[in-house]
Amino acid sequence: MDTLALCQHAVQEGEKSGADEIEALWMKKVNTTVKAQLGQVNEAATVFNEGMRIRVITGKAAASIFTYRLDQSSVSDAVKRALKAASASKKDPNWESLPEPGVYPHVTLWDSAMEDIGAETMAEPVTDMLELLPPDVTAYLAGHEVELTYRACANSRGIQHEDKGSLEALFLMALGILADGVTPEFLGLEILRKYDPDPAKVVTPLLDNIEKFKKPEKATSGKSQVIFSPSALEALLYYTLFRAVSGENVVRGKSKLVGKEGQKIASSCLTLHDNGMDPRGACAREMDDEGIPSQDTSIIEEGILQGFIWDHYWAKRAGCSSTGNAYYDWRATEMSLRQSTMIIHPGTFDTKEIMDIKDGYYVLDLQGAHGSNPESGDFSVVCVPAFRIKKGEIAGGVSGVMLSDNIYSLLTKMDAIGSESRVCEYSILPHVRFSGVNVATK
Amino acid sequence: MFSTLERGIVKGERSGAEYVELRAEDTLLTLIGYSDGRVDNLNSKVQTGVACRVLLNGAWGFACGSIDDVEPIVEKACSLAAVASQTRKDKIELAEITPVSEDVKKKFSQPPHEVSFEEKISRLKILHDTIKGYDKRITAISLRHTDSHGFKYILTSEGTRISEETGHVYNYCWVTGKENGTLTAARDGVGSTEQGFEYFEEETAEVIADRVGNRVIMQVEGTNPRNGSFPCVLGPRVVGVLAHEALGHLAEADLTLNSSFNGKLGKKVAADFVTMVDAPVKGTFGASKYDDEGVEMKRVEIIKKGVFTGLLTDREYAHRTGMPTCGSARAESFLFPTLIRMRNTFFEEGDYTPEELFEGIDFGYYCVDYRGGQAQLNSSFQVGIQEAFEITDGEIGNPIKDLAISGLATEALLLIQGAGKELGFEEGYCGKGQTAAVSSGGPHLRIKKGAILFGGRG
Repeated sequence: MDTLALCQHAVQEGEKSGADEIEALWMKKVNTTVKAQLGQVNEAATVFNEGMRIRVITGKAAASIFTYRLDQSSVSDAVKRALKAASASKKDPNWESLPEPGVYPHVTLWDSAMEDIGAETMAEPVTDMLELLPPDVTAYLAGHEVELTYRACANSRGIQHEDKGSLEALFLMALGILADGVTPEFLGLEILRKYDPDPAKVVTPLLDNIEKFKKPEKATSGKSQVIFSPSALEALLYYTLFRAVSGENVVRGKSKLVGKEGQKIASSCLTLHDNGMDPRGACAREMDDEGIPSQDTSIIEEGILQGFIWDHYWAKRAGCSSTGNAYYDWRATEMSLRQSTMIIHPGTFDTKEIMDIKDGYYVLDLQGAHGSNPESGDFSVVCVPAFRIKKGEIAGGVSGVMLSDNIYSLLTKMDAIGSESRVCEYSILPHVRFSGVNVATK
Repeated sequence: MFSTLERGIVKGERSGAEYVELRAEDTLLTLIGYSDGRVDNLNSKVQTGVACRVLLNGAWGFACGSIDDVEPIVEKACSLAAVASQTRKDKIELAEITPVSEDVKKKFSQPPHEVSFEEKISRLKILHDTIKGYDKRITAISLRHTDSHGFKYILTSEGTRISEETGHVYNYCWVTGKENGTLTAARDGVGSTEQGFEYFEEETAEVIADRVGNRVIMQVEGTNPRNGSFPCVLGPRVVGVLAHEALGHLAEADLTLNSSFNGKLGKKVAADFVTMVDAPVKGTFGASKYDDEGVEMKRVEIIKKGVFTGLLTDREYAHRTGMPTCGSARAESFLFPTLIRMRNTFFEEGDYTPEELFEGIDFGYYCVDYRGGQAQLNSSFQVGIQEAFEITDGEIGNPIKDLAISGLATEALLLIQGAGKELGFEEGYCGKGQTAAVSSGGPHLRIKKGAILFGGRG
């Protein structure tokens, strides 16, 4: 039985057994990784993860079961268990319905070459990365990963859709060896939809940064211009702004952006979209995890708040439409509403222009962003690794620098956006420069 | 189960593996989300599968999937190990252990899987209503109950044969408070891997609500902290996360060798009276009898009287470093290979009275509870603080909001000035690529100015 037919089997079983509504989401992930530690390849692994989530609604009460057993009989049994669980759950008077079919975007997320690539081929870029490292740089972890994702979704309101995607990641976590210790860890990462590993592209900028960090510079407390790398910016936004634009948090009064649609909340240079269809994004897909088509959702246009991201339930509660942001976390077994790929539209500043400041900091990564307060927007994060910039040039590495500010205040202090973007885990972001950021040092 | 796994061992040995390790799992996991009076998630998962790790030609191969496919999974792991071995200059070797054969049982009074969904939802409703009633400034409440129960089976080509009953209960709260223009939040997480649903007879709705309610109201009423370095007193929950982040991670042998603590074994890294331990402490979160390599979990003194003395190891890194095995190889589930992880990490108690901890501090901070923490290989640590107070003239003063502390462990551990007499622990999850239940703790610690940088919006 093909996978969509298996989902439809679950739906039919639920309808026969008395479910008011039922949804089946089948997922298969095949992940192959070659890893190196201590300068040598040490492990190759293939993780095969396949299962089905069945969500049933009866009397406006919902429950779901995830099963790894995918023969028809086991799926039927899972439907019955989901029904039993739903009958034990609590009626939600705000429940309206599961979603209806939509028009799915055609997004090219599949590179058939990745289906045929084996660990043997994948090992070569890893050893190539290691060979590019000089003796005074050590790789804590290097790896090459190919992930194939297949999904199918059917529900009792007529949704029937399948999609698939392939993703390649080449990564290196390395640090420089100093006379009295080590530098912080530097991360090189390339995420690609089409198989094209380029070890030099990962290693070269990383070595350049480690070399520049080795010259120590002092940091000083006070207000300063700060340039965030794409990965540092993602770390901060993921735990603050991305939470604040969740429709659930808006409806529940947990976001400071409630009631601010149409108002200016950021510098005019900021345009932010949640785009589940951009094939560059690691989170791109044709549908979300309740079968709603992915879309391009405008969040902020030239500094003005346009709207929020929604799944079907919270959109109905707010009287609007889902933006295709339902997400099922198979590890936590939890359904939630979250961003797909957040994209800041690139600006006009090339690297030299964005660094062209008299005095400030360039932050490659952040420590502790997950400890930010998503409700208040306050954050205190350590910049590591980070550089001091003087007269438009990187002067050297800095340690023990903390940024203590508030995300809503920071958004208004954005004064330059880079012209080139990078693909991160949940976003596609350029370098962004802020002015007047609160810097703390000992 | 073992007869199926034995077929996999035979397959691995015939494929040329030096070592074959099979780890099967059959676990029922439950998650119930309860937010603002609504059940927002009621999810159950039967997690069933097998992980195979083989050492072949001195490299690791790992594959996982359905238990019914154990032989092709072993074959796949062997072929992957053969690929990984091709460029190795030396062979990975394992520290010797004595294989054990044991059936380990839990002693739950109320096994989580035997408690009905209705009863679990009822507990959450009572907890929700109790938190809501704590203070009218509490405006949103998100609760998560998770539990599990199942069995794990480890069979190796060396003769280790362990079946272990597993399970846990965990309660997580995220509570939002609002007053005038202030919108803020606080969290609470508690759980047990040794008790079943009876755990909530101690961690009652009132106990949890008082704790998290107090934290969020302190955030609502608190003032912004000053930036800079000050003397401070850290409470057991923050001391625990400091133990975990500041040196705990860097004592994980796979990280130590790349960190600023490499080469420091036998050297002074902390004040003379400081002893820090990672151990399977009975009653704490994350402890079990054996790790996922089938090695018994043992106590490791990471720092003994100020000297760096111990590393957390798996069998590979025990052989590589010459340190003993200690049962620190843990995997989130059958979908993951093992990693070196902490279990329960804590500073040991000292002899300071409560008065001595605070006396003589003209201005500083008393940090009681944290929101999250992170470590770096150069020993930089950061801990977000969600409950803190000013110390003024040796007395605990005003509450502080949204504080964070950071520093370098290589400096901060040497500036610990004194430790209190009573230990406390906290429970949580560590995310080193995989999620692992851990606990950490210690006594109150007094730390000198210069050790820690405080950051906030003041």
